[in-house]
Amino acid sequence: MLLNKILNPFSKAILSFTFLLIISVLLIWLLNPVIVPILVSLVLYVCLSPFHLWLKKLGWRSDLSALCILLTLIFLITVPGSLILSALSEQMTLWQSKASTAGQSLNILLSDISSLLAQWQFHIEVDQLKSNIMSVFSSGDETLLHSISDMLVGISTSLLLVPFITFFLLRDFDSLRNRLLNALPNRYFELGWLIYFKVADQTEGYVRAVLIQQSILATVAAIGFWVADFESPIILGAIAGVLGLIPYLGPALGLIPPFYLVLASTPLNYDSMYAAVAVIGVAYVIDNLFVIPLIVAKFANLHPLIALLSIIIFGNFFGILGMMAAIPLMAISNIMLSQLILSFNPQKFKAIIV
Amino acid sequence: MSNSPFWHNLFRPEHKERQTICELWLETPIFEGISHKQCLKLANDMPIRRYEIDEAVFTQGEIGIGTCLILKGSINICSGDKVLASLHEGDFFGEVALVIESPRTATAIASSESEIVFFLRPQLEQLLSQSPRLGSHLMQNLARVMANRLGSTNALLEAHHVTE
Repeated sequence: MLLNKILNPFSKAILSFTFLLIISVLLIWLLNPVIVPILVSLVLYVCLSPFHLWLKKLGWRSDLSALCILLTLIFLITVPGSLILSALSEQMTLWQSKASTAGQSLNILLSDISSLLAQWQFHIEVDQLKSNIMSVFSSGDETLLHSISDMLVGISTSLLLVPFITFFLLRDFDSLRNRLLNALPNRYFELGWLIYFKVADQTEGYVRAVLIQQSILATVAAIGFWVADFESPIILGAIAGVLGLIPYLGPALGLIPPFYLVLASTPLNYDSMYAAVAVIGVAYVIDNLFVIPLIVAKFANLHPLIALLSIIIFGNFFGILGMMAAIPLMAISNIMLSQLILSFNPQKFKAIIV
Repeated sequence: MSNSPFWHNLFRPEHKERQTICELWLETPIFEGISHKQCLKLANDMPIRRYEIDEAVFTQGEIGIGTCLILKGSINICSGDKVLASLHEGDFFGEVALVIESPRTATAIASSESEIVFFLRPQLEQLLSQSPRLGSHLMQNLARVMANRLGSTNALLEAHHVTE
């Protein structure tokens, strides 16, 4: 009570937000061993819940509908899923084995660039630059290829848990959520539900929109790589789609695999390099001009500078997964904080709605 | 400790009171013309809260998220120190929050140990998108309730002007 009198609404909102943040971090830390399957299951839950609702509307019992979806999911994961993952892992191993050829080609390419730049009095350290670039592909534990393969291994080992978590989420999510929100004190009960609904609505919309966006990006890139006669166009397109989840840095990262393939093939073909740039460029132009404004924009309204900084900070702490989660996490924090400020300061709310 | 609303809210036995909730809602004008089955389906997802005597259900100025139905006990609706209405089992209040996100216009305080069922705005919005016919029927009922309340407020104001 005393604290209530001392603190102004803004400080109360910041304090509550910090408290929620600490609880979330603790929860993530506690769930760390199973965080990947839980996240994958939550994404699947968001995608499958309309189907579950539709079955329930047709008169199916909730558990029966969830079981039917679970069996379909198990079938999809065990048959085509395992085939795709093994093909992907084989391709990754093959690409890593071509590192020395890529290194030699990179040397030639950098020497060409260096001699070209020397004509305009620009001098670059070819060996240093080459070793920096190659470290991304072939050495060390924190390399890009290692991160991608670690992520794939992490996902594949946790695939066994995913259907079960998804099943229970589909069957019991509402009851679990109600129990969790019932733990709130009476005073914060309505505020808790309000924040939950806003965050859930925004997150569900964002996840669905991003999945559609990435599928379109991956398809356009795959078609482009196929037309440009690249090896494994579907995998290259899929990688471009996944890396597209990282805003701003996605296009540059998406160029790495096709460039690597060009460098790994002998003789070095500059036309293929231009083609890769064109494919990724066209895919991202379509993405930025049509797909994002139509599908994604309304779900993550963040200032570009905040978005960029959060991607860098989250990427620094949590790698590629952190970069992908940065925007939705910042958008959720934004909703929570603004809702808390509005709730603790109804005068401001009145001003907004008037 | 076992009597504390916190533990009661957390470990409340599920579905026991749902039938009663459904019957109470069906007696209100909001659920007029809605079938028992449809009402029960909605009632299954409605949170129930327990309040101690003199505990606020909501305070004037706070943002509301839904309408409340009194399952047990009684509630006083107050503005400042003035008690505007005294409500009992089966009565509902705070229906404006079911339609728009706005601050509560009065404070609701439990005048005895009470249990309140919340029908939340997002539940109504979900209903509108999943079963538009049922949703719009509820909205129509809600509009009627609010129009009646507006009519009685106008009549009260008029009477107040005449006596002045």
